[in-house]
Amino acid sequence: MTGVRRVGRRRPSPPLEGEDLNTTRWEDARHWMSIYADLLEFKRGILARVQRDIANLKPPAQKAAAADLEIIEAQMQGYQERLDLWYRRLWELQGLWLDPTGRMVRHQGREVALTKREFQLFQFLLDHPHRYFTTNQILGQAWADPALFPEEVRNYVRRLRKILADLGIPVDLVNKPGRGYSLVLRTD
Amino acid sequence: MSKVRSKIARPDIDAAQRGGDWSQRMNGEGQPADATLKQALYWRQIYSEILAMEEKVLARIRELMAAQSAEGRREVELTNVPVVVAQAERFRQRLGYWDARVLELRGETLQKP
Repeated sequence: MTGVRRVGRRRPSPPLEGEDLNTTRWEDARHWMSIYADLLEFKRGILARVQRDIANLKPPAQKAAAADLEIIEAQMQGYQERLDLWYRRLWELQGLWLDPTGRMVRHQGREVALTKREFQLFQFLLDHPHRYFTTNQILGQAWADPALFPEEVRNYVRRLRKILADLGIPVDLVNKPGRGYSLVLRTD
Repeated sequence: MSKVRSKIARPDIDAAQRGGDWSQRMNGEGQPADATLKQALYWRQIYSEILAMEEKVLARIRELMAAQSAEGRREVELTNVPVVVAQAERFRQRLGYWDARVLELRGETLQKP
């Protein structure tokens, strides 16, 4: 049985003052997740500003100012990784366990066996928290089978929503027009 | 909440310090002392524009900081602010060199504030 995990990740940024990933309080996890989400939003705002202004500069200045972009983007990647770490910690604290071998999902004592595609979809969305994926992205990245029909995604999303509800996992598998699907943690 | 306090490597802050090196020139930028008036005017214009941009970015950072949590604000003060301040200071300094060169070539002298 393994916890929620990801492969091929980048290096997270160093922890902020007071941040302790070993906390046993899920409220701490929620607290730090909100801080990293805010920091990412902040960086996106700055990045957008710099990208807009940089376009008006002459080439040598554009090159010099590009250093700012690199620093901001590297910081954003680091924050994104820390946010992901906190998501995984939150799932641990919530008692969510995934067994890739047996394709089992356990949450707070309840357990269910998933089909291969159900498990792959759930694992993929858990591995990329708070990000949205279109039907084609899910076909290509979660299942590595772009030849499947988009209707299959809708079908498996429906099945996965029922599984999440049956297990009482406090997330919603939402679908936003133009953005796609994402697992969103419930705030209540 | 337990507190963790440690000395942590911050490559982003190291980069900011490097960026603040006043002797660092842009691509194609020569020594002010060797420049013609046309070249000096060109580089003065470049540095004026990039400095104005950095100042706008700094203003935007301060504006967005107001909405941050205490922890978020500390992080921004530690990372973004020094990066932009160091860059802006470097551009201001180099603008000063080119200003001085333009005045020199025009046979004028720089007014002390």
